[in-house]
Amino acid sequence: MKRESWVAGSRRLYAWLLKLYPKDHVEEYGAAMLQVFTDQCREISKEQGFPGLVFLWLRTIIDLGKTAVSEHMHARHAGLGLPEIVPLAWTDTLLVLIPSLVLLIFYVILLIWNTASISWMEFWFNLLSAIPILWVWWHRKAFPVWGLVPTGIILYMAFETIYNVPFRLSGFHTGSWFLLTALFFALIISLGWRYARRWHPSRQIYVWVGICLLANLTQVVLMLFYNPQASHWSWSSMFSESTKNLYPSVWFVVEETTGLILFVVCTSIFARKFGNLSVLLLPGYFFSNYLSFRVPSTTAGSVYPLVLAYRLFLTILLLLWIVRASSVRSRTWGIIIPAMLAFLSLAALDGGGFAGWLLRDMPSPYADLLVTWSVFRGISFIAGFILADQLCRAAGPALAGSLRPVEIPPRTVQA
Amino acid sequence: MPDQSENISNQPLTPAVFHILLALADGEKHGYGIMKDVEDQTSGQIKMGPGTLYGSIKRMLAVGLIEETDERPDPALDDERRRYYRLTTQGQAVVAAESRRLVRAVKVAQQKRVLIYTEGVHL
Repeated sequence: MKRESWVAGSRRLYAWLLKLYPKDHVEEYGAAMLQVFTDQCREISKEQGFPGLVFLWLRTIIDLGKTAVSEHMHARHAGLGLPEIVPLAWTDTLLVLIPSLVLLIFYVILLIWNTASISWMEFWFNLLSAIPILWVWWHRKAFPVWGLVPTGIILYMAFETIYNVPFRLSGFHTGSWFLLTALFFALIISLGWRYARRWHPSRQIYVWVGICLLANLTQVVLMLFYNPQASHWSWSSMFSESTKNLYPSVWFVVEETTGLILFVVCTSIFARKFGNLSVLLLPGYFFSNYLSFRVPSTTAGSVYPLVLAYRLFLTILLLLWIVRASSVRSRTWGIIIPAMLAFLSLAALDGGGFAGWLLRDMPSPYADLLVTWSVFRGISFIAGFILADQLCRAAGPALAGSLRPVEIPPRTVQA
Repeated sequence: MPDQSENISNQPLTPAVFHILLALADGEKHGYGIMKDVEDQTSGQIKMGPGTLYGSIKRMLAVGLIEETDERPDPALDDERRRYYRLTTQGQAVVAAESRRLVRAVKVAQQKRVLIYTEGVHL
């Protein structure tokens, strides 16, 4: 009797674990796999008792882990009906590159003369870039493909403004805004939930949203453990400093999560129009963050070439690679490799900058925290790219007739 | 469009695919039957889990090495949820080609004294 209950319990648990496989695989083979596993359980528990069942579970868990990943990898390429990759025409490619080329010029100037007036010019250029996009959109009744990068930049600017509002309000650090923050967070989660129910994003999207959320939550925990005054990690600071760190940390998670959900929505909307090219929103969104990091004056001269190469890569080569890719493999690597390089360059330069401060006996109490920030932001950056990529893939079958990039006639270009 | 099974027959098969083909060589079997047969063939050295078994079956069905059959050896004694599989002609050709490849490899190993045959036992 006891043996039967072990078998029944194992069967229930395995049936639940089958959810780890892609949905179509479970629909096709789930019942048969469960039947085979039940047969194995019955025979082994009869012959070897409970220890045999434990060993069977160990084998099954390893098998499940390996094959679930493998099935997802296969499903990713074969099961989602990935649309044909159409490289963008050279005229449109040049139009896509113009906003980022202007940004690159601004950032090169900022690297040499870091003045407030140039920063303001850059700010206004970003903001005013919305005008030609809206104009073309209104006249042609079609959102231009070259508007994706500036839209990403404007989204980031809007988001940063929202993010900074609570810090300017008195009482934020004392917790009186905590309830508002929690309500905002709940609102975004519920919007995300409604979106997921309506559009049925692929399973990979949930995985990447989960990884980003986990990365952000881990960062909050690290921030809670960190005592900036003592400049070291401390378990006791968890309690003594927690109130001080908690609210900014929670708000950070709110901002990052909201940003991520906003991207799921925005990229999906654009994916219905531009297919794979909607990934162009993301470089725009991350430009401000990843191009404007500080270069400490002590090390500036030695890292100029590296900084310039890094910025050139992000603003021009990355976009060129994405829009001109002619195969799935090329496009995928065109996203993953620049994202990895951008992250590593950022981590190296930020890390190098702080190391420079430390060597000059001017320890920055927040150095560890900021390096950690770079790491987690980097994870979000890479995850964001893959997330958008997956969204485009998932949207593939639904996009069948409307995947070609919008044709922009020459006269619109001149306008 | 190139026949995918041609590529498979020209390349060494994975242990799982080869042993599944061998298990089906003497007639159709259901999933658990295949699993048990593979375990017997290999003296318990290869123990496939349901994930490996059905992942391999899915790919073998896709390239036409095996096919699903609706016939039940004894419907009265069998569970309807069990799915039976049998070799296709292509599958038979591929398992024969792979077996010949392995025999040749064993002969070479013996010639090079990698395998020493002593009183009926390969050492």
